[in-house]
Order: sequence, then structure tokens, then C-alpha cells
Amino acid sequence: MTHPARENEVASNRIRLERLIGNDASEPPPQSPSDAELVMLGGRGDAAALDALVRRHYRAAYAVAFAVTACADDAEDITHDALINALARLDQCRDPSRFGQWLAVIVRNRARNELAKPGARRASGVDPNSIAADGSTPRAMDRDELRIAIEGAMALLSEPQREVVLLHDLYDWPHDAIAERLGTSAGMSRQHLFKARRQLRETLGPELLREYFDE
Amino acid sequence: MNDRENHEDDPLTFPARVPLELIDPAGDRARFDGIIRSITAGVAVERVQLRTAAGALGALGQLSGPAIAAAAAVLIAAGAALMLIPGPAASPPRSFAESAGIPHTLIELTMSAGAPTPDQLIGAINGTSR
Repeated sequence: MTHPARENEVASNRIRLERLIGNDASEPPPQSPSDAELVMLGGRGDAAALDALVRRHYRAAYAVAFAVTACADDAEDITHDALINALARLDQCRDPSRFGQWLAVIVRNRARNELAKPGARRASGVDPNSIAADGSTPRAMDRDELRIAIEGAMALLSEPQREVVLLHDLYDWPHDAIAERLGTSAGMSRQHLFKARRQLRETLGPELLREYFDE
Repeated sequence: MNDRENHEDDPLTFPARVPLELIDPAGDRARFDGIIRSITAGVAVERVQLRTAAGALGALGQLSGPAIAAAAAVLIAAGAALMLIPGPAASPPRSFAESAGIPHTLIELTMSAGAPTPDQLIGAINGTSR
């Protein structure tokens, strides 16, 4: 979810970008209707309200799941199941205006339970250190390998660093909103972001970043 | 970098953003729409299952009242019937030897003052007195 404070700016940027690349990925304006209204309607089985709740909160929920598991596939599965579980039991959401926080707790608990199971998957199918040991890539990487490399680099971060970097750099949340969600300060959020970016750059290496991300 | 670069951090001192779009399941519009459809369909299925389970529990709850009342009535009737049926006639107290299955005649013989003859013993064991 993109935070409401930056939603319009991000949405307009996205629409502009997608017009350029020919993919209309614009989304309905968020926060209207409110979460509380959507939860009330969704609880009565309103399909459009459920759809809107998923669109609004999927990304933040995924960020939580990925922060815990450090595995994209696991995070996607956990987010999927947690959303189904939560949306089917909207009557148990005590404060519908804080649906996002309620969902985050469900996702985090589910992710931790999954991680505690024997044989839980872990990220790092490819050791990112082997990719970037000398700052070079031994051969051309395909999209999947690149994704695994990023996933492996993310796995080396701490859980809060992963959550902050995803919410800030992928989903455009401002530090204030991240701090509120994580129960920390904006300064600490910035610190997590600083360390996360530095670690990611070190792990992936300048060569890979230059070659694959036009830096 | 791209249009979504965040400028709130000083680029001179702050490390630049690393593109993370490849691990974003919501990044591809078509794929994200598919995920949303899958979730909303899953919610519908889950709700039906919850309703079915709640319906079964409710039916069980409705049945449990009469069932408990019926069971209580049976217990009361059974108790009353047990109280009305006379018990077995009181039997005279039996000695340990009789309880062990030793014939009464043999017990009497051994309790008598004189020593029994072999014929008396055989008769007592066979159940006949001589």
C-alpha cells in the first residue's frame, strides 16, 4: 500500500510512467472510502469493498511477510493466506479504521509460524556474496537469477531493515508512516533505510547494479 | 534510477535506492489482478466454510437441549424403577468355608466333636450323609 500522504503524487507518477510504457496500471484513489467503511461493506460480503481492501493493503502486508521470511515466494503465499483469513473474519476486526495494523499483526504471526515449521524455505538460492565478491558478474544473469540475487541480498538484512526498505523504496511510504507502523521513530526508520541500502549495494556490487539497473 | 526515486534523502550522504521491483508481486498489473481475484475467491470459499461450520454447530446446539432433557428423563425413570424393584431376599450369613465352595455337610462333620469315619467323609463330599 502506498501511504495516503504520498498516494496522489505516486499515483500520478505511476500513471504517467505507465502511459509511457503503454500499461495502464492506474489504481482507484485510495482512502476514499475509508478503511472503516470498506471493512463494514466487506463484512457484508460486498465484493467491490473486499477488492478495494486487498488492493490497498496487499503491498504493506507483503512487506511484513517478506521482512519476516526473507523469501519472496513464502511471503507471497503467507500474504495470500493471511488476507483470505482476515477478510473472511472482518467481524473480528475490533477497530476497522486500523484494519492495516490488524492485518499486519495477522501476517506477522502467520509468517513467524511458517518460519518455525520444520523445513521452512529460506531465501538465498544464489549466494549474493558469490555474485559480488569482486564486484563483477561471471556471466549474464536472467531475470530469475537477478531476482534471486536481490532476494539473497535482502536476506542479509535485519527484519526491520527489510520492512523499512520495502515500504520506503518499493511502496513509497514516508518515514513517519513507517515509524508509526513499526512502532519506532522516523529517525530510526531513516537509520534502518540507510543501513539497508548500504548493505544491499555492498552485497549486489557496483557491476551488477550498473549492468542491470542502468546506474 | 527511475521516477520513483525518493528525494527526501540527501543523495550526497545517503546511499541511493536499490531497485527492488523484481521481488514485488504487485509490480505486474496483470499478475496483481490475478492475485486479487484469487484472494477474493478464497474469501468467498472461506466464508462458506465458516457458515457451514457455524450452521453445524448451531444445529448441534439446538439438538443438545432436547437431547439433554431426554437423557435426564431416562435417568430419573431408571432411578425410580430401581427404587421400586425389591432387592434379592436377604440370605443367611455364609461362612468363609461355604463361600469357598466346601459342602455344608463336610463343614458340619469337621466341626463335630468326634473324628469322622472315612465313610462319613466320602458321604459328605458326595453330598449324602451316612
